[in-house]
Amino acid sequence: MTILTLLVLASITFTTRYFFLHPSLPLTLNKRMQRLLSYSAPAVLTAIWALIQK
Amino acid sequence: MSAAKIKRIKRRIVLKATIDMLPFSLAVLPWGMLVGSLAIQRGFTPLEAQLSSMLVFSGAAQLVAIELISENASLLTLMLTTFIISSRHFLYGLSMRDRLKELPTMQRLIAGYTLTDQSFVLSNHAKSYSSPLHITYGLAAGVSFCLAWNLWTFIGIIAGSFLPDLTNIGLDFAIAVTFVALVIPSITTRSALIAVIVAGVMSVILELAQFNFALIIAGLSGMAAGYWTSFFDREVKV
Repeated sequence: MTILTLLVLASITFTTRYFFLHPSLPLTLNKRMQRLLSYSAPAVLTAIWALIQK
Repeated sequence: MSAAKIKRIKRRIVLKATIDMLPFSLAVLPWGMLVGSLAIQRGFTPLEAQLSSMLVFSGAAQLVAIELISENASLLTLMLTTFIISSRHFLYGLSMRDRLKELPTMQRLIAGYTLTDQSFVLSNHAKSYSSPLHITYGLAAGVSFCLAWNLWTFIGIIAGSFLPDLTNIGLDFAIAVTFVALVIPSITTRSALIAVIVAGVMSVILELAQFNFALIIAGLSGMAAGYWTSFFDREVKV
């Protein structure tokens, strides 16, 4: 069961990494979306850090 | 150029990429060990613990997923949380797109699989992936980091199997260190500072309120706060 779950999670991490490397794209990111995502790393990493420190 | 000479040059490039990546590979040693030993403590088999590093290959996502799985969280919670944690990779992929989209399928898949915070930093160079030798260099750096991550996980699994209290020796300081190394330098604007503060405060409040999707809501709140305040940004000196 855990291995199945890991496969599902792996497909998510791989998709987020590979998505924009694919030659033909189903969709593109506009400037607003890119701007929003530029806050993803600091916000998410801080949230994890704060959860662990509490 | 003879085939033997090309092979020799390629080998040198692989070695150089591995050495250039070494500071990053060594920096995640405590993270990798923590993930391996924590998985064992939370009831994963050694195979499952190792597979999580081989398949998911994302320290933050793995760490959170291990805790959620051990708390019997729903698959939907796990999927949403992993998606939010991993969403930053969309941006990395987008900025690498023009250099990587023309690669042969196999190389492109490897480049995607090994696209991490660390390999992105290393490949953030005008010449990266600009020639066959640069492609060899980029892929070798990514693969060497992946191998190191799995080796550290393996050591964590072994150590966690024999020393049950390994997670209490402070390996989680690695998370604080990673936070300092990855987040603090990126706080160069007021909006980034606001994003970080909102995400941190929200995650603590929601967790204390025992909210189910604490991490997701906190991460999205921070991103939204950063986005909206970015329209009023002026550069700040930190």
